[in-house]
Amino acid sequence: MKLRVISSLCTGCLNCVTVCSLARADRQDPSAAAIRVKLDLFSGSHSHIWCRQCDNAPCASSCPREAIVRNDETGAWELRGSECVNCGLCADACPFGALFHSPLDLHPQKCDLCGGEPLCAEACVFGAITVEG
Amino acid sequence: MKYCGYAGKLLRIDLSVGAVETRDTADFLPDWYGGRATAARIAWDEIPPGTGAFDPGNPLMIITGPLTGTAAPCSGRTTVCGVSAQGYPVEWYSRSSFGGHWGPELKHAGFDGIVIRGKAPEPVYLEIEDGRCRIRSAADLWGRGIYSTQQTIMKRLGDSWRVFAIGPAGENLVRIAIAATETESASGQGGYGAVMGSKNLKAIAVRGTLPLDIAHPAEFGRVCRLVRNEVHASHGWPHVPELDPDRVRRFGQRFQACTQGCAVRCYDARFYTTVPAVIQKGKVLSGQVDCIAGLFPGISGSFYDWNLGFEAGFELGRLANDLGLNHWEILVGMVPWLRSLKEDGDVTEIDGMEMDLDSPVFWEFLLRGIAGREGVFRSALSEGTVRAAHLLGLGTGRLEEFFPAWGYAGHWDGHGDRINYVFFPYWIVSALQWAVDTRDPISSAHGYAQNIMGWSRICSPEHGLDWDRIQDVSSRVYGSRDCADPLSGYVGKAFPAWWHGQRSVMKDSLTVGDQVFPRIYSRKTENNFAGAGGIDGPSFERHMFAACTGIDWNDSELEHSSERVIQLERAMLCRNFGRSREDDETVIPYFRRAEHLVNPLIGRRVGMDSESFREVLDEYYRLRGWDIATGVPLRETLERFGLEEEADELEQSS
Repeated sequence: MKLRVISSLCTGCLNCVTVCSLARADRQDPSAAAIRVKLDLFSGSHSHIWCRQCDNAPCASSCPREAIVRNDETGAWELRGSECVNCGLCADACPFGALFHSPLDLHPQKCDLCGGEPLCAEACVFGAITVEG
Repeated sequence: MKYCGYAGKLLRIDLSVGAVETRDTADFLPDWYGGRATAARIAWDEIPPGTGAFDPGNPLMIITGPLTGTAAPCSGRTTVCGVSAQGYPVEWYSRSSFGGHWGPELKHAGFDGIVIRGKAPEPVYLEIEDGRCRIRSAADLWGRGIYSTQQTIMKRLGDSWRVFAIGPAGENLVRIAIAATETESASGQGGYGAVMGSKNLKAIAVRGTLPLDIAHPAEFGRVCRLVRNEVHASHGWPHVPELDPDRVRRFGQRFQACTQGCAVRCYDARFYTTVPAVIQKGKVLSGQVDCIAGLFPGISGSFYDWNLGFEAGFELGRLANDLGLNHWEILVGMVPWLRSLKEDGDVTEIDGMEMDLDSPVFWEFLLRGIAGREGVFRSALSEGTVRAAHLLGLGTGRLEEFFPAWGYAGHWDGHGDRINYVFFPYWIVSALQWAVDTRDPISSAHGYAQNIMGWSRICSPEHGLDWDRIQDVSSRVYGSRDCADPLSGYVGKAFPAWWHGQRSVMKDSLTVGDQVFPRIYSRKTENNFAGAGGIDGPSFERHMFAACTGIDWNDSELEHSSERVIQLERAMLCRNFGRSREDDETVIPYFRRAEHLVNPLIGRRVGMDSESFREVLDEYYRLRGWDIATGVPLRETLERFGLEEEADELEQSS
């Protein structure tokens, strides 16, 4: 399973970000979201940063603690917080910039497809974010 | 207790001396729970009688609510309150609101709202970021349009900043001046752009990264999800012409949320990426077209029968936004009024230019002149149409075709504005809502008249409900089938006006989208009464509010607190502005005119019967606990809402 994002369908509602941050951090904190939207309100062309759940996952192979592990059921590469030392190497390795690392956090924000039912896709009324595979 | 959902602080700024202070939001909680509610409390306490819109002492209050910027659907709005420049016959306390992404950003910057007093010695703008507020010089911004102001500030500070700004109209104290953010999200009604201008305040830029706590996150997420899935198919709309497929493609039409948190396929909010300009030849324009802005091109063969074409209409809509002018006033009030004067032969030219509504050049001349207070005629129009008619001594007899009261053009009331279909008897509720308000009561009118018409088979031939079913559903909310019976006449109309009054406060205080809530009708339930997961539609707001804030009110408690806001606002209108029943009844002449749509079950056009309406107004006053003769809140009423001191003060003032 992967997320498919078609930015041209995005209406800029940011529901994906608010539901993601609520689920991950139990509060409304855009910096806790594992999907980000860069709004361009004057051109209407918004862009998204999201995890592709790559088959060869550079984030996982770069992790010295092997803390990023594939969930065979959902296909998501999941970050095991108990193993993570927040070194940030995974964030550096991601070609899409879709692991969000801050030294102030316990560990990077990494999309885990919400255990198989991605909330962002459900909240995206206009179908910019869907699930494939 | 700790109240969640709120940022926790209100900014208080005195521009005269450059002072920035904060006040704890919790001082107002739980009773004055956000937005319009918080503003009402501050207004009663801090606006003395005699305060005008342009007085430095008029506090401009820009306040979000506990749901603003959360996962709650359609929760990106911000409420603006203060003494209004557009208000008529006097500048009185009123409100407006706007969408976009500014309010959520303000909360993440650490503030639930801003109360701005005073007048800066020189033009300034505010820079608010993560708990800090700086007052900056706006010397290089003054004179710029709203778009250019935003883009200049965003270039300086970063493109993740959100900016709420005024244009030349606000600077020039034009009474129909907006303040706005992005390309189409305006605090449109009320002339609050001019109030900002009077304070020498050009813009408010915000950027925030601070988190907002949620009291019961799992429950909040669950309820928001239920509500989002329920609201995402909306009711129908009157048919408006669609852009042809070729231009849809060439102009890059796409859908764009009019506010953060949008979850509704209303298809009314469209963004165009590449529209060739007609007046400024060679330029390519982009921007959003919501709601009324779609009328700029005109609709051939209809009441809006100017024929500018989409491209010119789009350009003029952009221009009006950039100059900072109120679309609703211009398109639904001013231009129809001007056209009627032309038909009468009373006006053929304006400030030396022939009045040709089919000419984009004339429209540009009109808009720029109003925003810049140029020429005798256009300077008068910058006072708003109603004041202009009296200043010019022109067309006063035709005002009541288009302006129900308070200096505002018709809006979802079956008269004047013909794009909004409402037929008798539903507009009796609109008339009551108009009668007791200080502006067009649109948040309430969307809840009742627009909702019924939208769900009827007139506006939704395929998916609408029949009249029996509409009554079945509405009787669950209003307690009587009469309240939505198309043949009920004046019976049962006071209750919905009363009920939607507090629901309107709720929307402007939480904040949630006023087109979307309260949820009453649905296509997703067997009996068509909205609801999801065991929660009735009308209770959606309360469940989201409780899970978000931790304030565990039931429906009645939230409605009671919302009605308290109406009582305090009314008490202030009586104390400060001498508001009375006589004022309320000034809406009657507009509604006595025959409606513009025939009730298909009656088969003719109906006008208001004054005496029948006065009886409904009596009934409304009884429900509100206001004196039948004067319209002033009774002491016992104010005491029932815990407003004893306010009752004392009101008595002393009279």
